[in-house]
Amino acid sequence: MLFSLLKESFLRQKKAAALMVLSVAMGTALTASLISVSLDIKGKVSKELRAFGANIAVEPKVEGLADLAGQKRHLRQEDIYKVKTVFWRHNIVGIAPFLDEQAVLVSGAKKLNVTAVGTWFQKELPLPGEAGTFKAGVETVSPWWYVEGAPPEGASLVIGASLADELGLKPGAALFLDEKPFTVSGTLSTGGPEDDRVFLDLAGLQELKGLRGKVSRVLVSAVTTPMDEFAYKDPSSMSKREYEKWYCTGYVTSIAKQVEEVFEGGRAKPIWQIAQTEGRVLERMSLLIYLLSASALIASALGVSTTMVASLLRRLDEIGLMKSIGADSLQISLIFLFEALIIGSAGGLSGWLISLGAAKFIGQAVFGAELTRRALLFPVSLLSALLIATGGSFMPIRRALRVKPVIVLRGGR
Amino acid sequence: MTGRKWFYHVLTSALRQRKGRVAVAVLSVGIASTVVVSAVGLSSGIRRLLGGELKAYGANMIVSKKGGHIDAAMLDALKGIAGIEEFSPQLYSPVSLNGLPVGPDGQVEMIGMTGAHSLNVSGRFPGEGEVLIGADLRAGLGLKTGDSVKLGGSVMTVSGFVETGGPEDKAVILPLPSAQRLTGLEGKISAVLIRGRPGTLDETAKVIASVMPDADVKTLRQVAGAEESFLRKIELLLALVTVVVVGASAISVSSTMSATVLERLREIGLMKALGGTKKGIGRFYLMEAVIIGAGGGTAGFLTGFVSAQAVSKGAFGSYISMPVYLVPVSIVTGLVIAVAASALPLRAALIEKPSVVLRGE
Amino acid sequence: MELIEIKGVYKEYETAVALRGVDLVVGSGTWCSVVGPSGSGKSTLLNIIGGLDSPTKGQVFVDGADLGALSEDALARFRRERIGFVFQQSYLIPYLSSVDNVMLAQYFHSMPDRLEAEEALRRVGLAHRLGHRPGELSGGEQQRVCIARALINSPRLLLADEPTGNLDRENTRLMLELLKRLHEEERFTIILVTHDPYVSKWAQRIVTMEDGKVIKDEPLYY
Repeated sequence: MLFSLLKESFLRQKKAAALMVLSVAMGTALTASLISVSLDIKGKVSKELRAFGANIAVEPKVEGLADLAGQKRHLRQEDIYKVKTVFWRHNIVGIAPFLDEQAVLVSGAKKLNVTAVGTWFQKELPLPGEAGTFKAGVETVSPWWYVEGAPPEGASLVIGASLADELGLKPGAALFLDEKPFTVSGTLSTGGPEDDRVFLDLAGLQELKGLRGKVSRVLVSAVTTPMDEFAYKDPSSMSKREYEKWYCTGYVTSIAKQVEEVFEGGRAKPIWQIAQTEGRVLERMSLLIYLLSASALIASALGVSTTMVASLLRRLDEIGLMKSIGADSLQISLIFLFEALIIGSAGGLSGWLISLGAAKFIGQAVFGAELTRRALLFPVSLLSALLIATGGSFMPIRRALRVKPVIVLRGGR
Repeated sequence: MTGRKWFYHVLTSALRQRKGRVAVAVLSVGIASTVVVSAVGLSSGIRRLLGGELKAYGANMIVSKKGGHIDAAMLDALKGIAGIEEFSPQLYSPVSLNGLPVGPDGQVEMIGMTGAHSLNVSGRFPGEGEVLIGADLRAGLGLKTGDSVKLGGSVMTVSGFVETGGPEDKAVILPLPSAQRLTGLEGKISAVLIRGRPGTLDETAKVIASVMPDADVKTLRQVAGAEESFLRKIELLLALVTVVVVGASAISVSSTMSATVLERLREIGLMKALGGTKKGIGRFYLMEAVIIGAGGGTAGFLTGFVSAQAVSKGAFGSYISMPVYLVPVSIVTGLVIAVAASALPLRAALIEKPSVVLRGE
Repeated sequence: MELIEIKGVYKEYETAVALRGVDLVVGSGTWCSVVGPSGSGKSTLLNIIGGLDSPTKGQVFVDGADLGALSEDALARFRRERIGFVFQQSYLIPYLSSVDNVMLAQYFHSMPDRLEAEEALRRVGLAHRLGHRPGELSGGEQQRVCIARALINSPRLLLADEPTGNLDRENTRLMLELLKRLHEEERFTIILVTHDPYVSKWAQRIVTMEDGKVIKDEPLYY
């Protein structure tokens, strides 16, 4: 009798049942979407923040006066290829070497001492021990460098915008650098010191200055975990366990240490302004999304409950009727419970499906990449939908069961 | 009693006698309003909030004079400009350090600034007669806090060290007035680093150029470009989240309101049997929806306001200013959703034959 | 033309046929009972006469109006001006008092008149229950409010569908006595659907239905 009553009452209330399923679905969709965003926000934002530039700088170690004075020391270009072998190699998203040298520029009648910078504008680095290549070069560590024209190659160079203005040089112009002929392939404008420099392909400058295989510094761009109290501890004062924990967490300091280890005679420093600001922004963004999700979760739960309460209150007459034909409290409760379970499952499942679409859309639209799928989200969504559906029916069921059938049939409440 | 008075009498009886159900409906609208107001409030305020954090990336504009110095007196002109959040004047000059052969031409870069700003200082920002030493110089010369060094012709005490990973590591830093005195460039500065409000940089640059005509105003693309693009992405994220929130809430409220109307199908059937017209009957229920919607919308604005501030304080440590238009928007939204959600089942019921409605389908 | 003229009315639903060709003529002022087993179509017929439902086929003329030709709004006007309904379940608005429930019928008709409504309730013996809500009234009292409401606009036709179905013997008798008194005073036409033979005998004419058709139609003589 239970099941026939259940089937009958359910079928009769098609509209109301549909409304409840819809409400549960929307609540679940909202919560699940926000949870997806929450879980992935750190990763996505971290990647976005790399647009501010490299956060690790590698330079020749300075240990004594000799390192500051006289002949400049260099890093070995061959060490660069080992950067993508460190423990945190998958977090490293950009590498570029720089060779800074003074040179004499002659253009027409003008003669100037300028700083010439040799770097990679576009480079595919082979990945040691793996197939495929890694995209390196200036656009991966200084994405705001915009070359108007073409990047330098062989006997061409790029001039900083201010310098170009001063000398009246445009792409195609010819000039001499250290008495060797070069053509201007483009101009670079950043608002910073680059505007007064000239840029060559790394090999070109190394050739010009007789510094094959040598670079002055290397910039590295890595996705890092924000620094916390633990990370600021001096690694040399850490216990073995602490050191392992530090090394295996992607702090900017530990990644810098790992990068340093592959450069002979090198010292890797976090570029603190970038690293620290990034950490703060990440923390704030995570907190924001978590708090928003939490409030949305509470709101959906309440919202679904109100719908269930509203739907169930209208069926008090039905309860009176069922009681008058002999159903007891237990049977009635079971009927409503089963209904709640069905509604919870249907709503939870459809809500989860909708959230997949929403999360995918948000990920693509904002970050240009899908949000990571989390396998746990499905059972969690379903479970919470069921909980809310049954929880939401709890109160009205209890109230309804206390009602005497005769009062209900008389039209009272 | 006139028709209109009686109409309101019935309306108030309905609201009073059905307190429980009315409360549920108002609660539903209230909750939806709350979430919508929070989401919209946060969306509109995120630029300010996040912009505040992004400040830490430093200057996004720089004013300098090619081959010359700027008069420090010109700084007053910058104070009044709306688009400038902060500015920091600096003086650069090569200086000899302990007469040692450090750096090119045996000199190091000296930077005169007005404060530590966002520098990573271990020790203290230098006062009168003190100097801050860059990390590379410290390593190369084995200096300690409290040591004396000779800068140019003056002796200074080391007050601390700075490590940035950038050019400051090979420089010495002095308070601006000391630097000006040391180099005999009193009243002069080399550049002004400016923190402009993201999104308005181009206009601000024009204004600065007009008050400082012989200086070069440049946007630091490293910070400016990335900032704007990041802010836009986050604004988009919050906007999309808001859309999802609004959509889900609207549907949730609609379900509740619809359920409330469905509950009263028999009343509607009865009124049709009594000869009520669609308009005559509809008026009662729609008016109720208006009251519920407006009530829920108002309450929702208040809780939404509090909620948004709580999230803002929790995540960013500061409060946001919510746009005033949110008040009428919240109330009107509550109203519209409540009425629209009631109107649909209402219309369906009103169109049906009374006998069908009375049966309760 | 008589007050009610019904010709060849069929009512078909998706799953069943409720009326299979019903012809009926009822004169003004008659008290007519419609009896038959459940499923015979009596309630359907009543609903169609009252314009609460429309036939699949056939013609229905009530008080000179061709119900099939009226729009929904016109039907509403027709109902409020000329018909009063009493149902088995007292469809009273639960959150309104007795007086307000009666005034509701006035509101849709012309204008609510509290004094008139109170007088109507007094006539049905509910002077002491004016401010009570349906939940506070007994079954019999509720039906009496329904009668007062049904008659407030002086309709020419009173349609009652098992009005005593939920009442006990005593209350049934009281209600029928009330109806008889009002019928004699006001001279409206009554069509009363019932399955209770005792109730049916209070009428002046009994129409018996079975399986969607009228099988017997005979007057009762007092």
